[in-house]
Amino acid sequence: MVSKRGMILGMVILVSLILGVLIFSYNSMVRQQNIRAHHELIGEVAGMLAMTGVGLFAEKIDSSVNSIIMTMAPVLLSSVPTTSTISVGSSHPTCDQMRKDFDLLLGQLSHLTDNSVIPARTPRCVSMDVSFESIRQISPSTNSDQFRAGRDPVEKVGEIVISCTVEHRGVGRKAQMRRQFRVVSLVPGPFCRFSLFVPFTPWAYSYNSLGVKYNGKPDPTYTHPFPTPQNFTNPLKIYNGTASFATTGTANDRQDLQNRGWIFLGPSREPSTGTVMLRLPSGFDPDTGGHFLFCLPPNIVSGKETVRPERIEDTVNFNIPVPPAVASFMIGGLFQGFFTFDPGLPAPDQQKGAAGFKFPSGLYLWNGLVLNPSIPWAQSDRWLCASSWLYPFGDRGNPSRTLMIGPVLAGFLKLYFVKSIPPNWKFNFQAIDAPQYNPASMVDGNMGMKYKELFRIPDDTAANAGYTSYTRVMPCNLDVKPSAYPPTAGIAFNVLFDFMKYPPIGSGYPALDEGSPALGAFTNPFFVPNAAEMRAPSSGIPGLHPFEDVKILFTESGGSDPAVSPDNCYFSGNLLNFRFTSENLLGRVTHHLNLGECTSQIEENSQLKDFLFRPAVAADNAPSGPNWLVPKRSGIFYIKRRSGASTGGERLKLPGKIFLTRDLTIIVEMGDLEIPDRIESKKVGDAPEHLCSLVVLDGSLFLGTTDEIDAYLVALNPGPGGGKGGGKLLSSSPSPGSVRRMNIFGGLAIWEMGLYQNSPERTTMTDFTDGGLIQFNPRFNPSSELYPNSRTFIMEEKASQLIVTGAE
Amino acid sequence: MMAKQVAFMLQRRSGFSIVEVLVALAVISLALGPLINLLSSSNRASNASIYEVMAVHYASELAEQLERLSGKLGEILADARIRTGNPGLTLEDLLTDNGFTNELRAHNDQPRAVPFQAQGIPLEVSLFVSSLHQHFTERKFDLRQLNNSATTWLKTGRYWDVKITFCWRIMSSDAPDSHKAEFSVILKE
Repeated sequence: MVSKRGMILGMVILVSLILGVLIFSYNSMVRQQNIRAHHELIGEVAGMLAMTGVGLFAEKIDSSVNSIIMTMAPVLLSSVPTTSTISVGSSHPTCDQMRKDFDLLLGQLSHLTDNSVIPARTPRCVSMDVSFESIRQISPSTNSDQFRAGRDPVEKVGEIVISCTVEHRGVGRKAQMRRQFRVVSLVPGPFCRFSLFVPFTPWAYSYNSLGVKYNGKPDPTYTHPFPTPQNFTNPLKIYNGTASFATTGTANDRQDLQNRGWIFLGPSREPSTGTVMLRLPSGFDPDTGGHFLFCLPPNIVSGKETVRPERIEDTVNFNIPVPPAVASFMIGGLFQGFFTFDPGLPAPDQQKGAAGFKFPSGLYLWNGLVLNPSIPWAQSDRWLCASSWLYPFGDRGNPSRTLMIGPVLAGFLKLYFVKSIPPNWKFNFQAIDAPQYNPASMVDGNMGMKYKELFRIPDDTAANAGYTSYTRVMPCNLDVKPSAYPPTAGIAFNVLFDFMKYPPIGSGYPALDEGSPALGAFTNPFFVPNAAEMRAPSSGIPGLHPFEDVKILFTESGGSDPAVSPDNCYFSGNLLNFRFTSENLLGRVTHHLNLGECTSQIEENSQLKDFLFRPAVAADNAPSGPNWLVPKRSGIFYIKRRSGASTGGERLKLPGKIFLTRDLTIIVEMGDLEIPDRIESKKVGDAPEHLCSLVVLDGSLFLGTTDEIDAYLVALNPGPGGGKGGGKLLSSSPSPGSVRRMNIFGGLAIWEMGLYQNSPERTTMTDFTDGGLIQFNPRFNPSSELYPNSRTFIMEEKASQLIVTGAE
Repeated sequence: MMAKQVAFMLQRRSGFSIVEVLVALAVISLALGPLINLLSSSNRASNASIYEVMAVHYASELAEQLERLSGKLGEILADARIRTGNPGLTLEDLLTDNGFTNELRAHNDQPRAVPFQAQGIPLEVSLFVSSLHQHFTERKFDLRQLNNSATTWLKTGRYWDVKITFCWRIMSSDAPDSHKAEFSVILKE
């Protein structure tokens, strides 16, 4: 028999012990869980702060991206990648400074102070570091096709990894953010070297539509007959640069040239010649345009230089009497270009213009014109005196060194500036005070010659750099025959204007005693691309610049063969083939906006606004006035329109007044784009600081304002079959009194611009009959020394990876 | 007779003595008291850590959204200023707006979007928040502007210490803020 004595007690004690063990175990687990939870809480605080640090560093890089990247990894913005990874350690001054700054902020989080240690301390930033990984070139090939497509070998793609380690209450956490980045050039293409790039010209006289008085003011009585009678009230002035923009503090002709834009007017569609005829206006009027004028107006105050008129010996086409009889009008520059209205003559002869100018001998100035026997003459005759709508040579306040390439002939100027008949060099301009001028005394050249700086014969002992410069760029062609149609000879603009150095604002215009001696000092004679080819062009017309084989280089003195010096060649090829297509954008687009789901134009416009812009705040320093918008981000934005969008259909519309605080390129895939209001950037060196390009790949641009647009506008899509109907700049409200003039500070590249002879096709000229202004922003020039600044480091909006780990 | 007596005695010996039972009860009561106390406190501690972990997750979802919105704060503020007509509106005004704070601390069964408010006017931007456990009594932001004058690179803009606070109670008799967890993120306005 078994005794039960003590059994219950034993069992109780046993159960109690087991309970005790279990409960203590449970308690221990709970305590551990508690500690873990608390640890997790502390870790989470540290992790959040580490994430904050990473975010602030990323934001700092994003806000002053190029300066920081140039400090940390300059190779990203300046050359092709040589390694796939660049590590910027925490000891780098940039990272260290950021760590210190962040630490200063963390030190103020008093509610997170750890009082368990002596001294008590707040969270602290242990380190910040950055690395660039998986770096690749966007366009590895450097053959000429790549350059022609506007690709830059420096452009690249990769990942930026930003890390920040924060320690809080003894717990360290490291946040690491990965973002894709791209380095892209915000210059949209090689055509951006041009102030005006127009590959398609409907006919040779497309641009000759403006009635001009002798003094250069528009002639309101003139009605242009083609394609339908219409009046042009003002010229379109083209300033190929800014007045004071310079890449360095010292004046340098070569840099100055590189900071200038160019003009390319594609060949006319008249197959016999393909040339474009520009008639330069007569006179000088600072309000409406300039005048490439060597002699000053007759009412000039005493003390200014005047020049002796040139002897014109083309008696076949120009019946100008020889001096001294001619002096009475030549000194005043009566015959200086095309004019349709001569206020110096009594009515009705005043409206005969150059063609109607009759000498006392009874001969007309220009016998080549057909005069209607029943005076006053016919409208058709007056049209032959109409001047060019394009004024490409600036004015007194805005000197514009005109650089024009392409098959462009400028009428009449040659008569003044170039004469090659031996034995005397005919450009013996004299510099004297006006009251002292006596034409008769000029024939022997007895008076001092200031302008010899420019035009002296090469073997003259006083030969100078100015003339040498001229000989380097001048074409073989030195004879003009304006009566010949189609034109067979002439002077290309670039020859006439390249070597001229205009004086700064405030001084005389032009400075007649200045040539361009600095230009002559350069060893490389070809500041004009393909200058040698101009002397014997394939077109058979000396002086016409070729456009089918042109190279434009980053540095003029560098190698011109893309296969040998790829980094020096921005493009090489046929100017007529330069397009802006999606192929040019391979890998370069940084942001896509798909409006395909939109159901209305209003919705498209709204999404465009929300995606790209935000209201300006005080820190943006926008101009005064309400409703300014600023870009949210920098980049190349590709906008895909909703289905059904097409040229001539509903237009995508920018949201309003835009103040540029960042560089951006907006590319619209389909249809037209309307610019309803001004686009403005802060000016640095008189040029807009930020690059904005507006591109339509398959449509036209519509301007809804006469205010300044600080942007480069591109609509280069050709018309059907490469003919008419391609990209244009049109007015969104072309009715009289509305938007009939443009004001662009950047540049313009459109497929076509000029008038048709017979077709009522709506063009840029028909819409902008009040002309306006195109001013080139040298920051777009791929030859400018500022071009590298157009390369921008753009980070992906969102991190592809954001992780928080324990600190090492 | 003897045998009966022995059997009786044996029967008596097979039971428990009152003393034994009393001792056992005493032992049990002595042991169970602290053990139950310990169990109870462990339970409370366990609950506390559960709520602490919950607070971490609640805070984490808010912090991540604030970080994501940090690049758009200027835009949000500009919108708020236009809607309210108050050009002096700050980030503090937005995140500590009474209506917004009330919405944040409200208990709901489902996760929901809480729009920012400016002087009672809801904005287009929201924070998505998990439903707050019934024991939580507070979910709020407190902002304090940080002094960035001594920094080199962070001089521009205003920097805010955004404190995210959660309060809860384990027992209904507890004070509403008997338990608290505080987190921080730094935002640039």
